[in-house]
Amino acid sequence: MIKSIVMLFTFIFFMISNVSAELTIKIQRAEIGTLPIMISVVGDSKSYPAKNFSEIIENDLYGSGYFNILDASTVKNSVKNKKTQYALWNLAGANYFLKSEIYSKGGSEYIKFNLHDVVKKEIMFSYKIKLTNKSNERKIAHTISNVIFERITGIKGVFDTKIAYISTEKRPEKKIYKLHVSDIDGYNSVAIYKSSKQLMSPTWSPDNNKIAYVSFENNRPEIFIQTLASGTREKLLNNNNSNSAPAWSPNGKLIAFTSSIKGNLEIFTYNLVDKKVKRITNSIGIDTEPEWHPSGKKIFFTSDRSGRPHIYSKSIRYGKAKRLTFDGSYNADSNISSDGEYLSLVHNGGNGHKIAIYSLKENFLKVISSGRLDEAPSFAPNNKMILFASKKRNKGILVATSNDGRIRKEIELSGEDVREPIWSH
Amino acid sequence: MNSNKKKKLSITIKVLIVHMVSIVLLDLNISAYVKKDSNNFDNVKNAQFINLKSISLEEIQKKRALIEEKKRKLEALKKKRKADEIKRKKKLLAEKKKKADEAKKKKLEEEKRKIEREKELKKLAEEKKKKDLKRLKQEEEEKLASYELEKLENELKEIERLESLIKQQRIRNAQLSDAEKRYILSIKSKIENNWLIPHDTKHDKLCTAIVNQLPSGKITDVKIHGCTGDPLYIDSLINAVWKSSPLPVAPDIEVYQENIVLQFEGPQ
Repeated sequence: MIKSIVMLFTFIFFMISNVSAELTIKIQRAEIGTLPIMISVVGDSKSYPAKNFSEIIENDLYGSGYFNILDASTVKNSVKNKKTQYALWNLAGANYFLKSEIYSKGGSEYIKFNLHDVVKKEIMFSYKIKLTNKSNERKIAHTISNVIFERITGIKGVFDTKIAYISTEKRPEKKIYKLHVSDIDGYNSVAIYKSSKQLMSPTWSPDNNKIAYVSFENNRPEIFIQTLASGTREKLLNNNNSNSAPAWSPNGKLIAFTSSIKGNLEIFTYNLVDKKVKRITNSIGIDTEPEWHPSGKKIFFTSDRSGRPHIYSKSIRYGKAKRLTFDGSYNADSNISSDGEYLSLVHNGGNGHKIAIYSLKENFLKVISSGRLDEAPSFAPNNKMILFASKKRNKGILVATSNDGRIRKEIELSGEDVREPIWSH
Repeated sequence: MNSNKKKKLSITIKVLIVHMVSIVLLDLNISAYVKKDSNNFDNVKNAQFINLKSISLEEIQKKRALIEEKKRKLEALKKKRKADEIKRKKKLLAEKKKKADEAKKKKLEEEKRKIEREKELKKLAEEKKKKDLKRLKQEEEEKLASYELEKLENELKEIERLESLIKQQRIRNAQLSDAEKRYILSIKSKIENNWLIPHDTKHDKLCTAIVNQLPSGKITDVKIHGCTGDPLYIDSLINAVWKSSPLPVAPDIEVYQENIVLQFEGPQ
């Protein structure tokens, strides 16, 4: 009885609370945009200028396409009063504020970060990192960027991942080709292999410990696998064929590649465990640039069997190839997103080679770059950014873009002619 | 022959009747004597003797014998009477005794009965006590029941009051005043201006936020309901609301509401 009364009351109060909150307002209009954030780092140390940290973080966050970086110098970091602080930041238009300070204590230097949610007036996270002589300020800053990005967007940050690319140095008498591994902003670049002959098609192993690539050191294309930590190289296949376009299977056991049979290019897989080669495609046209589906059961590749290059998919075990792209005169060099939903590819719809996103679910193609000679797209591990090669004043450059093409950022690489970038996993 | 016999028999009957009459007369006298005081006895005797003188001797002797006999009889009767008296007295005594005994018995019985009655009374008292207790209990229960009833009635009244309030509010809602319309529009535009959805954010068709505010418009609480989307999208709703604090002040305190329901309809 009492129970039922209580229940009735709860019900009534629920009704009341619903009814007394009867001022129901529909909110229908929103701005689609970027989140305003301010990055403030103060307190210089001898070896680590505060400005470096803020620049790296600002660069990372802006490049992600999710943030609008507001100038923090308009707001003084010295305000101590919490209430005033939030009011000031809010007035400056920031939704988030990274308040950071480098300071010395007991002979050691530290950098302290506090990320504030200006709207909710609360601290989202606090970090303190000890700085030593050997500290990699860029690595620290990228880590901070990752944490900020993850806490605000709920998406994994990719600012501490790596990219690989090929550069060409033109000397008066010859060309020097280099295979580089660097941070995603082009810093900490290391040439892991140099050659006077052409280098092509770098690709990461699933664990990011090795890179497979094509080298012409023996005057024909051959695939090599290089371990990053030790620098040791090994040739994948000891045959007399031209082998190119390596692609690591998601489980790391197979490498799909292109090989010529009587002058025609077909796709094969090489088993790294039992060393067996298996043919995947068989057509009168060229089949090349294999790319694995995340399931490891299917590959995407470029074929001109229809007369023009287009993207096809095919099971690695049986069945026929299926044509995917029909738009434009040229679709090639596909790279799949880690969720298996999108392909990034080079597309020519009559206006030059551009980067496009192809939705495997909805079968539509969307161009996201504006160059005329854009090529070699690859997704960031979180699929939110795409890295590709472009041309600027006849020189190859690398561009990172948000996956909708809205944010486009050139990666500064000390004036080298660069191409074929690929993002690590 | 027959007539002779009849004559003889009638004479005998006549004689017999005379005798019987005389006996009766005599007997009457005796009984009168018996019944009369002893003082009057001799006078009666004398008178009788005088009467007897006129009668023949034979007759007197006869009479004497008769009287003697009667005396004897009387004596016997007296004796008998005495005996009877004794007997009667005895009987009476016996009866008295019996009565006494009976009385005693009765008394005893009465005492017994008394005890029993007392017992009964005691029992009754106890029963009464029990009854009283029961009654008290019952009364208590009745009181409690009535109290609960009162409570329920009060609760019912409260419910009715709330219901009528709701009705009133509904009626009021139906007749949204201009002030209210203006108020809603001002809140709507402020929140819409502060609603920023990051690019590439998946969202639900409809998310509801329940906002608590003070009369000054200062927001004290925001709760999101029925929203199962990208956390970045949910965050954009919460931010839009908090960024709009303080909300526009109600043009009339009548239209002010502590709770506001915001229905966010994601853009296409």
